[in-house]
Amino acid sequence: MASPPHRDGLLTRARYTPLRDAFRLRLTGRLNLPRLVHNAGLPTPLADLVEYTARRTRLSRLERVDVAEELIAHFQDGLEAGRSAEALRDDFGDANQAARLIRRAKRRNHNIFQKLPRYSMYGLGVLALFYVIVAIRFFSGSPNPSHDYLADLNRVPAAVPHDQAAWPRYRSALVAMDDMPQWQGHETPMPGTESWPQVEKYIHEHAEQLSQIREAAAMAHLGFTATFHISGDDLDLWPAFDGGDSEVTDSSDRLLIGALLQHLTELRKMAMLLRYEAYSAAEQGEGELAVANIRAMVGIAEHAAEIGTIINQLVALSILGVANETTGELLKSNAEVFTDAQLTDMAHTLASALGGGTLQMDLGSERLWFSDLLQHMYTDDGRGGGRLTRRGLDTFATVMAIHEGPFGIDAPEFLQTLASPAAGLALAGRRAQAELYDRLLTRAEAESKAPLWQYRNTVEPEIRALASDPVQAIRYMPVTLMLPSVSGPYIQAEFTTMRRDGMLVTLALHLYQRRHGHWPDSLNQLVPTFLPAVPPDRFDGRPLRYALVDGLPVVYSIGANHQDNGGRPPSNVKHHEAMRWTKPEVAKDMRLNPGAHRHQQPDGDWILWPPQQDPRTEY
Amino acid sequence: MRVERELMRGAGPLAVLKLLQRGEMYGYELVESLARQTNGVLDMGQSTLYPMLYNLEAKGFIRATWREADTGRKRKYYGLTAKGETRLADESEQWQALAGAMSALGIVPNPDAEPAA
Repeated sequence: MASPPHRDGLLTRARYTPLRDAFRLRLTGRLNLPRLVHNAGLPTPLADLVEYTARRTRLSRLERVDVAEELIAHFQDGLEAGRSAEALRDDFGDANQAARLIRRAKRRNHNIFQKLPRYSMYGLGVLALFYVIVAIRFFSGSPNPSHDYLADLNRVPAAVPHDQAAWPRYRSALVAMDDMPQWQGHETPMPGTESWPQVEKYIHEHAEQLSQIREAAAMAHLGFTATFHISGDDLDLWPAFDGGDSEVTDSSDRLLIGALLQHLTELRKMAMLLRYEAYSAAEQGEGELAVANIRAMVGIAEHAAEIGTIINQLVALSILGVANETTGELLKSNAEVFTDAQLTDMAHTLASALGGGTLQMDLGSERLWFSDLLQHMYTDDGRGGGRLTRRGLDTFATVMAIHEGPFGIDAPEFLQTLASPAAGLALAGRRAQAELYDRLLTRAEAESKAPLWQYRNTVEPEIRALASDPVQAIRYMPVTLMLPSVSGPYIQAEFTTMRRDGMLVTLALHLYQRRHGHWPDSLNQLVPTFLPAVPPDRFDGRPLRYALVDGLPVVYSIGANHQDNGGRPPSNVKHHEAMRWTKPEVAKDMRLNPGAHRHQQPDGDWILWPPQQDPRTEY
Repeated sequence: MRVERELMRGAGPLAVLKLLQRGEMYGYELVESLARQTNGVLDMGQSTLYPMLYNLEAKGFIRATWREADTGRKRKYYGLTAKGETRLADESEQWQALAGAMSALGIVPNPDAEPAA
């Protein structure tokens, strides 16, 4: 028989009181299922059945009590009708099935707020499952670099027969030279500067090697191939690289971006030595040697551009700039040592350097870097597509020197690993990256065909817009970080064109002066005898400017302020500030709102000749 | 005779709705009525009845109210809603059509047929 009714203590009642009762200050304790069943006074088999069934429903405590109360009422009705407890228990059926069906039916009756946590759990479950699938795809994917972009990069130099390659000769000369000492003073060495005696001594001591360099520079091809490690005879030149990378034998594991272009530093160094020797030769009245060195500098510039990366091309432009500048200095200080034929020779050498005409930057080779990066980051579906891989993400982080986890978030290693598949979702696929990169680079190439005064750069604003959008910035991070600055190299090419043109005009002026005994009144008088045409000022497309100041010629561009100041260099800023490319509308705004701009507008022109005090700042 | 579960799944709710059409009933009363009026054919255990009642309630065909009975005990009474009335009418019509079809096939006797001599 059932025990007599029992009342709970205050704390137990509080524990089993629904909130709505508690808010009414009624400690009903009606959620206490065992107590409810006990107090119902049912025979033990039925009491156990009620409690078991109610519990098995796994519903809320309130709902369990509701189910229990109804079953209690049912059995009490049965007992009142004269049925035995055993018969009622047998008629009840399977308690487990009842609990399951009751649970299903009750939950169907839930309102949206009761269903919300359950649906949220379902949602989270679906998301978790989705993330697991993504993670499996992410971690199981592996990049399969199959294209040798290094071979593409080396296509031209690798085809040069060894006996026709200038690089072994350069290398031989460089190996035979002592280390160049640190020159004293801050100025570029030239006759009259503090460091000049030291420089001149070094030049004379290495005259034989410089002669060897001139001979090498006259050769058509450099024949230097980029590699991931220094080996063979090159180790004589760069012994510090010996053994540093000897274990790496499989170049497919290496990113093209790690290819060494160590030779560019040596080429620049040789150009500078030739420059010093040209000054020295001119001081000694050896015009022919000075001209030969100008010619050799141009040859080295050509060699630097044999591999077509932007870096190579920028170094080539820089060396051509050294040749221009050296020519300018020689004409200023030692013009008399040169014959007319030598001046003409210098003009022809400079005019034909790096293909002649308007110097242009070839951006095409940049595709190699990017395609190579993609093949190391993504899987390859054979149709240009692929998905990001864990190894690829690490590679990208290494290339970009991102030391934190995905999206630059610093977190413990396991969290980074856990979060890394999200990068696979966030970053665009291989094809999308390649297509965006190609579209932007193609447009940059088309835009860089225009002369500076018509230049319109739409690529960099688009990249800035992408980078400022948090979603797009992550989605296309490889593109936004890897697309080269397209305007910088372009402007460098334009400015080198104008420096060279300024030098061609200067050489023509000297030839005119020699023939006529005086300087011309206008540059038009140089055409066509000394100059095929007056080259344009890259700032406005009009002919380069010319003035006679104190009886001496000044060749100039209107420069950053877009105003003709009569060939007067700026007095308010350093001269190189006049060389800064500024759009006409910006130059106008600088005049109207000088305080609104970072740079002060120069009040003078960009003097192309004679050389100014700080022309080398750009190099 | 016990009815197969699949048949009971269709017939049970309709039978409950029909019983409730006459007035509110509580669980035990429903079980008893079903067993008595159907000669035990629709005698369903409580493990089937109560989930069925909760389902019908969830669908809005019936409503439940706790009330105190004459004995002083609380009981949950079930009553038909308007939606339940409509459902009952629809399903009754379908069952009649089904019974007609079964009769035409000779599975159940035709109630309009002359009794055999």
